[in-house]
Amino acid sequence: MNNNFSIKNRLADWGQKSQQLPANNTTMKEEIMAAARPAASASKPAKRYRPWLYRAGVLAVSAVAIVLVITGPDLLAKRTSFGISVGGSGSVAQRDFAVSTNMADVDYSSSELESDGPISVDSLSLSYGEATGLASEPGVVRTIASKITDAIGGDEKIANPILYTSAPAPTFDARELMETQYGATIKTRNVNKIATQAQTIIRGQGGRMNNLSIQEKYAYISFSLPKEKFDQMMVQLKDLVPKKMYEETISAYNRLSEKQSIETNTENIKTELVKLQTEKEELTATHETKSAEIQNRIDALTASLNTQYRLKAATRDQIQLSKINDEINRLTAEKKSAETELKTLNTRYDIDSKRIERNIERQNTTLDNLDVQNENLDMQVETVSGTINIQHVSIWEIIKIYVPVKPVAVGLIVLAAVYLLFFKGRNRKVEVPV
Amino acid sequence: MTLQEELKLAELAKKGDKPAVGALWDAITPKLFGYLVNTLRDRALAEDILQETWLKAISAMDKFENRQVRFSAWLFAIARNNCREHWRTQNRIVSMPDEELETTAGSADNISALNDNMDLDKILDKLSDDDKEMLRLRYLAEMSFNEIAHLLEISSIAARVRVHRATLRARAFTQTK
Repeated sequence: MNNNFSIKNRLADWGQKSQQLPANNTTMKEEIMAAARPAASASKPAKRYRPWLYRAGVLAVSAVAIVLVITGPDLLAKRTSFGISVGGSGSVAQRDFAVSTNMADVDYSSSELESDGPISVDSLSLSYGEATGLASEPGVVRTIASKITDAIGGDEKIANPILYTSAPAPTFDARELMETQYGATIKTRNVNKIATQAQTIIRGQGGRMNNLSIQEKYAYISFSLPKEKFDQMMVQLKDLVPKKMYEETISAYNRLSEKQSIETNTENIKTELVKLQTEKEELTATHETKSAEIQNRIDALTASLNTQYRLKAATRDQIQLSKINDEINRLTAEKKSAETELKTLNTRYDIDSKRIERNIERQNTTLDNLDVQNENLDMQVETVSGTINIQHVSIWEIIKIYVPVKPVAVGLIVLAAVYLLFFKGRNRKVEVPV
Repeated sequence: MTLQEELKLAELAKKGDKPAVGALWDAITPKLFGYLVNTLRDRALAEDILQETWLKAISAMDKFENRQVRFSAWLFAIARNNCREHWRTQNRIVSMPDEELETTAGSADNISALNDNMDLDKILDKLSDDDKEMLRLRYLAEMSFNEIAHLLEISSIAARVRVHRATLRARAFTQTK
């Protein structure tokens, strides 16, 4: 360093000492002064040249041009995709292809389109052409038709186009029991603040927190909210951050099949309960009839026995006594048999009755469970479950979000800047008179 | 003289203001003439080129544009063109003997400083033409890197690098002397 300083000093000194005037300096000076004349452009004010402005302008225009070329929207077409169901034996194939129109604008007024049967590619192409105003251009409809034909693999007849949706509900039941789930990702420089505000919004709409985790650079909120307050909550949440910092996913699932299952099971159980009740009543009635009959028989036998005992007491004739004893024995045996039969009947009735009651109880329990399931289902449908992820974002990430310029573009811009700053000087020539 | 003062005088000179021309002469000629003497090694020739340069500049004042480049840099560009034209026609460089160099630096009272200057001249003679030119423009003509860049039609960074390298080579020669 000292050496450098020393040589520079010496060179500066040498330069100073090398400066000199010509011997006839005064004469030459006077000659030159005498030669001085007003220049032709002297009256015009000189343009001030601001190279920094020029460079900045070139850079700015180049950068904007490159960004627009690489990331600008396709202004010529809005793209929508819809599925085309291609009928055939076996499974239905669905193919995507993009058409440059908004689905809502396509006119499906063609009777062929409204029918359930297959439609021709030409009809579909014509409808599309009419809707977009392209049909008047020669060859356009044919071009569209050929594109559709290519997309579906060469078949000239296709099934009615259907929009992509989830599996359709049975046609006989149009109810929608949509269970909604919501997920949002919010990017912010202040995680804590946004997390607090989000909680306030959710609670303000009558929701509750299910899970909460807040750290310096990340927060997670899981919540439940009444469905009728969901839209309001979403609007308030979106207002917390700029549009590009907010992403949301809303999924809805139709719980109709579960509802139908619950309803069907409930119906079946109720029917079964009726059957069981009827069975129990019939069992009781039968039992009462039979037991009454047997009891009558027992009562009759008891009465007969009493008669025989009176006769026995009044008779001294041995032959008569023997006959009476035989009759008493017979009646006693018969009475015992009847009593046994009654006892058996009662036992069987108890068993059957208890069985039926147990069945009834079981069915009632199942019915109660189905009621609970139904209530839960209704509650789930009426409640939105959601999660919010709040992420810290750096300045560089914000730039990338707002200016999604590809690295190639960045490289081009940097090269342009390097060229302007370091190499532009080559081209700037000092104009000298010849 | 600052850049703005010089440009202001140049504007006045464009309008034919003779005192402005005189002021410019006084400020620029020592550097310009010293540069020419050092380049051409011929005092008489340097005077001729000096006069030719000034006359061309005065007659073509309308071509001088205020682009934040000194009027002196423009003069130096004219002078360099004239030197090249001269060399093209003559096809040789005349080297000045040492006694003439002594006379040239005659204003120096300090003999050791004079000897030091002569030593440096000899050292610089060992450098390439490009290196000598860079050092003349930087230290003799006292041009900024930007002005050197304009003059030589290179970037400022390149001008800075070249001057630095020439300085290093000059230093190397002083150390091996």
